[in-house]
Amino acid sequence: MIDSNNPVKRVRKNVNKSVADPLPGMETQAGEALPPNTPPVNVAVATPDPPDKPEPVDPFDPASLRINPNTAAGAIGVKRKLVTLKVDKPDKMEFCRVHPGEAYRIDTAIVMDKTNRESYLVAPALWPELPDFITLVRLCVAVNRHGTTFLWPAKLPDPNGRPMDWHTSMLEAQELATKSWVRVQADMSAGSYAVFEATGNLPEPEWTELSLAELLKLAFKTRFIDSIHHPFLQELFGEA
Amino acid sequence: MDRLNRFVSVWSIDFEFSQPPGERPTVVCLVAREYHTKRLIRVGMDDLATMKQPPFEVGTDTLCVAYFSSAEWNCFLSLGWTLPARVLDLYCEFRNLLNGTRPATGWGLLGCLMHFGFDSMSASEKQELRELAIRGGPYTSDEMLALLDYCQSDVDALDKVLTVMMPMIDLPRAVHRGRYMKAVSCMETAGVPIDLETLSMFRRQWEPIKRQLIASVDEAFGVFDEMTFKQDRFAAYLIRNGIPWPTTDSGRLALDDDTFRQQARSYPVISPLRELRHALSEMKLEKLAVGLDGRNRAMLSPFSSRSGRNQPSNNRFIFGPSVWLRGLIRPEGGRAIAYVDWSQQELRIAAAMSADPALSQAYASGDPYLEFAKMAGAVPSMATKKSHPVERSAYKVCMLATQYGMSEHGLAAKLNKPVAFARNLLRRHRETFPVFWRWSQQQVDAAMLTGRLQTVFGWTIHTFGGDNPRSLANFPMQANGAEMMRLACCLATEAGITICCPVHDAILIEADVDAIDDAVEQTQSIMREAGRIVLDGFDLESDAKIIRHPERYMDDDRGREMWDRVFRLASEADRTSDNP
Repeated sequence: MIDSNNPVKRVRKNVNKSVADPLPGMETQAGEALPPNTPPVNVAVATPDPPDKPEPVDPFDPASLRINPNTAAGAIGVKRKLVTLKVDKPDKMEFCRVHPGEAYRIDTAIVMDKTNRESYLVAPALWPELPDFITLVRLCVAVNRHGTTFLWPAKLPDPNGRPMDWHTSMLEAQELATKSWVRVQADMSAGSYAVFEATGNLPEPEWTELSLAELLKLAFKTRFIDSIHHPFLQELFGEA
Repeated sequence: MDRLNRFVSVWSIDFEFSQPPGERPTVVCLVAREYHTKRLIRVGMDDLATMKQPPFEVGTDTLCVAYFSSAEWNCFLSLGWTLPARVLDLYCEFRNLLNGTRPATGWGLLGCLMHFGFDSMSASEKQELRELAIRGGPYTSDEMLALLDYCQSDVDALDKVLTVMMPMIDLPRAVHRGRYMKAVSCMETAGVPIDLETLSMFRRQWEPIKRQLIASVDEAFGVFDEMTFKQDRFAAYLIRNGIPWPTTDSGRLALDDDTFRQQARSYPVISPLRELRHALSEMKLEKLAVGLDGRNRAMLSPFSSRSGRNQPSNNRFIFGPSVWLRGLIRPEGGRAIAYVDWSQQELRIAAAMSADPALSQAYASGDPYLEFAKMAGAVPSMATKKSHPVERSAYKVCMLATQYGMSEHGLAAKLNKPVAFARNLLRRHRETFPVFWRWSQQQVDAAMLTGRLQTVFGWTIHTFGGDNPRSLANFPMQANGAEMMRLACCLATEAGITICCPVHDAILIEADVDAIDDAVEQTQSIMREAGRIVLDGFDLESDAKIIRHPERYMDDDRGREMWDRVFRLASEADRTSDNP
């Protein structure tokens, strides 16, 4: 055996290891309470009568090494931000719910662009000027089973005309959807929408935190008509 | 290096040794150097044989540093030395620093040196000297000198790497990981008891067994030509029987085991062929590492997977994929083994870490799968495993699948049901356990935002973009499960329990027949404690299955048929060859 024993005795640097400090090494993560190091050799410290020696703490005790996963990862919050919103009746294949709050529905007027399958929200001041183009609708905030929020329009009956089953059945479906999961599907032979109510024990939906005004802004963005000079109206009038 | 100053001594250690497969190491030489004083110790084979203790302190004031140190501690145990109290394993730390990537230069000490920009001994020179060590003694004085110099070059390398890595190391948790490397050496030293006689018979008769197996299964298929599986015959069989089969991008039949397994679910007639192909490809009996004392000792390869779990060689380790082969595990006379496994470990971790009350309730019910079905309204509240086996089975698959982030298509294939059925099941899971899902997504978000995820003891996965979110979502369950297993192995080996090996979320222990019940009780208590520490107070129960000599180990529901068949064929072939 060869032992190149260095004759110089090793001097521990800056650490005055006391009897009460049995800890060979310690490294902590922020926020963890661990025994402090003893002061360097040259620091004068007033030493009152020593209290009872605390029990030595094993710095490698797994219980003291545990990192709280909630501070490691949980402090970072991420939530889904709604950036678009569909305005359409629900697909005939999907069940949905309507927000039961009165603040989450509005009777208003829209102009349909059937060619591009888009709708435009119209400011009330313009309604008298656009009687031939606007459609009176009830817009409800709804959510489907995938958790996707959308605005569900249902045509309101013409106050001067005969109520149509297509319209009334859709409005009734909206009403029913405030309490249970429903699906609507056109029934051509009946001339109305067939409304299906889910009978399973389905959970309540999670509602968006946004207000109706914010949702309308998201849904219609550039498709809000508040001037007679709106490009889409000009197109309708044959002026552009 | 201030943190190292707090240890009275820091020893970098390396052994050279020879170790045939399945045997314990025969130590060739040791070199150790104290990090601060540079005191160097070189000990050759003959001197080592006379030493009762290591030539340096190994108490709590000493830090022992090594690279992939379970090999060093195996040498300690071979020499009858006390294991060191504090270990820093730079392999574990190198792995932890880069886990999630694949360093171009590999995970070995040479790779580590190169990663940090150091020169190293050429690979060919290293190989030559390694072969000299593996050859075994006796050595000439020149050979021993060369071996000691070679060994010292690794110690030099350790010192370099230690200096550069130290600022990146979370020391207390690194020492915690080092503690596990000692437990690994205890387990690798113990090994798994194997029925040598039967193994010898299987090895002797393996060729006739294979022929017989093929003949008995192929009778119904006609797809083998002698020992070779013929793709064109298999295609003809599929056409004859009207079985559609997936193809590869190149248009050939997909013949991988996953495809066979999936197809066997839809077409059970395929199952025997799948089992045969699997058995033929996986059963490499000659590679199973069994020592002359009848113990299977395979390198457990700790921290080798991304989750930090062990990744032992499938061919060398008895708990490789050939389930039926585990029938070779048999305790010696007067001895017993016990397979102790945590009950639904990953589910419990998910419930505890996500703090989902519904998931905790499901776990506490004792049958989380049925409880999930009840919570989702799929079965009545009075339902039992017997009254609603089909529903329970589907909800079980769904519950397990969600932990791996399985898609609706994957789940549908696994259940052999329409995608809509799987979609509905997954939706119910989301609705029943919303807190878990939010937590799970939060883990993925955190990984993507911070570039890493870590366990309660700091095992880290680094993300570099392009990571699979499902894999990241599963990381907390897998990696904290691995932490729990490591801690339990440390506590149990330190308590003097003989652990043959860890197996995913189970531990195989061994004791005398009359002591096995106490050993199981103690092990379960330790596993509970490990669970409580990792899960911050949550209890995790375990189940135990005891096998006493002369019984064999056998999985409850898998492998028995194949074992019986192979055993019968081997016995017949052996009789025939004995009595021509």
